[in-house]
Amino acid sequence: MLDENTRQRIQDEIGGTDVVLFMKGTPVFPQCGFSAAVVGVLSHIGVKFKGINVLEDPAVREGIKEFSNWPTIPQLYVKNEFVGGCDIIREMYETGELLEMFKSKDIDAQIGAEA
Amino acid sequence: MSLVQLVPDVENAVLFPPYKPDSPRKGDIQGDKLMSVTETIKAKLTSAFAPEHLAVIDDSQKHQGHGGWREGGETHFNVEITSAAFSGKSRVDRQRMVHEVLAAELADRVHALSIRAKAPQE
Repeated sequence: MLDENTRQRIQDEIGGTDVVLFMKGTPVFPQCGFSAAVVGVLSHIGVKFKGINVLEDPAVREGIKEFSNWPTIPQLYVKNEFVGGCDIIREMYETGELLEMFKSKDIDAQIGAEA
Repeated sequence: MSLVQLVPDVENAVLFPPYKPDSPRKGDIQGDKLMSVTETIKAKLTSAFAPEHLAVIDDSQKHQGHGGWREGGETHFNVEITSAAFSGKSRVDRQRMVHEVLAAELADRVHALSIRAKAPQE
């Protein structure tokens, strides 16, 4: 299901930007509540990220699930590393781990920054 | 042609006629009974993780009209699960363990699955 071309495109995306969110819709206009929740958290802590709209790209929409071994969208990657989906991002935000994780990876993040 | 000929097996019989809110959903068959998806999820998680705490909540109504929603519900679920099986595992690993057990449901009817997986004493 995940062809080499799609794998390479996903690899280029997560390698090309520090924070990449595979989502339904765009950061300005999310088209799914779970994607919107992650956009909300990232914006709240002022993290700059690139949103990839999987609804515009059926190959990536299916391919990212196999690539990450994760069946749902959204999916957050930070510096080439899979962090998790909506539940994990929300939990990490609530416990403060998310902010710590960004700081430990030298990515600007601050509560209430509203990037 | 009779309905039986048009719809030759249980899978299709459940999938293709319009859903009625009280009609059986596409869960597993236990004995001669078709389980609801909620019951199927509970049964699979119970046998896989022997959880201390397990709540499977059909959250589909909140998503009515949104992506993946279908009449009859059982498309969006919240799972809270506490099990010793999650001790020492990362958040990503815990969710993958749950995804694996529910792979058939995720591939079929279940559109969204929200998971809170904890180890005892957390």
